[in-house]
Amino acid sequence: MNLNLFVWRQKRTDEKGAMERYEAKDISPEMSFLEMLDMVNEGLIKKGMEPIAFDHDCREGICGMCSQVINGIPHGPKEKTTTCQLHMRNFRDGDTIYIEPFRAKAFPVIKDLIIDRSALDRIIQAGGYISAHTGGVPDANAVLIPKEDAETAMDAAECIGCGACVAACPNGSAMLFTAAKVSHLAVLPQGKIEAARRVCVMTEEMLNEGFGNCGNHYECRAACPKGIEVKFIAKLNREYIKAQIGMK
Amino acid sequence: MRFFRDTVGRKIVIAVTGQIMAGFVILHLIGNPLNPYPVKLPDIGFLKQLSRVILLLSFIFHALFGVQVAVENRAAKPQTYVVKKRLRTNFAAENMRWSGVLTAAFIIYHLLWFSLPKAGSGYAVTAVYSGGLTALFLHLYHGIASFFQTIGCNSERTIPVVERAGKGTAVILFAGYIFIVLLSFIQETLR
Repeated sequence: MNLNLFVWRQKRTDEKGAMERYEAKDISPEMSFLEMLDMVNEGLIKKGMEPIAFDHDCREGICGMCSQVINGIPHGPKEKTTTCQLHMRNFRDGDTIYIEPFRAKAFPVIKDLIIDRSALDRIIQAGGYISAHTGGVPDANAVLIPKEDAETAMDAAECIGCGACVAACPNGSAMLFTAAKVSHLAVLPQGKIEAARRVCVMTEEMLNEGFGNCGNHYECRAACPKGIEVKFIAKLNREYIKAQIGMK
Repeated sequence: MRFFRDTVGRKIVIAVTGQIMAGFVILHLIGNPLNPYPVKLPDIGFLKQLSRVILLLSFIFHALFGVQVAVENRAAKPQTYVVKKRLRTNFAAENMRWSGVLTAAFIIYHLLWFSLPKAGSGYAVTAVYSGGLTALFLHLYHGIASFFQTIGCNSERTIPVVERAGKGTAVILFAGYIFIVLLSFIQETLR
């Protein structure tokens, strides 16, 4: 298949960028979106041009490195799928595809489609951990956790920190990411101890990093490649209220 | 106080004050003297004064934090996409700031119109009321359901129900108020 690409090109953070047109020829429908870009880049390198810079690592949908807003949707048109797991069979021959970096004040563009997502790391550093010394691997069932709680924690922990929620949010808020991390720890006994402090410092750091406030648009949920539910944002809000009124 | 600077704290203030005012909008329709089937609301002087103070404070805090949050949100998204698809949000949610400003202006107009000697009526007033009610409708269409999410009173099961109930309430309120406006207009024109 042959495709018509419009790709955001930007040399450096402080330089202006623009959309540029490229042709992707002889693309196999079995290729992933990143493999398609690899092909385009090979062609560009052969012609002595600068290849398109984009983020990637595991290419199996779990590392959270690949970003890209494809035709107006973070990670492209397929639901619950990262860019690396998006295959070209989801497009048609002759399609025009717009590829842009994730956009938010807290995510400055480093080059082309690569953005700096370290603001999310700093939200984690603020409080997304437990300080209890847990030692080695504990014996099974030493700490009893109800099945339902374990499931909820796992659902929240599915977040890979890719930042698609921020990219999709009209307010550039990192609320779904923060909520997933807060909820993941708050339902487990080891995480409950610092739950009150955690929710306060993580949301505070979110604002300090230049992310916006949640407006309950739920665009984040629709764009999330892991399908993190917005119920976790309600859970974060509950945790915050509990922290304010001094409940643990 | 930290609470009034926090992202969730301010959202809670906006949600609670907003819902107080939405509650008034419901009572105002039920007990409206122009309503052909009015329900007599208890008339207790002390409660009336207290509710006025609460509503005024709600209005001020809602507007102040609303503007502040809107300014921050705009700053957090300095560059927009060349192509952007709307996935789950809607026109009402995306334009809360504008429907909010218009609703505030409409409330002020409405209060002035009733406290000052009537200056003009008919087409112009009907148009202003219809426009103001549309802005209020759009604001409530997103706002009523949003309240429950912001105060954490939501779960996977309740989110779609709350959303539908909130939108439905906004539609009913709009229908009720616009009925009164059109009825008054027709009565006046026929007279």
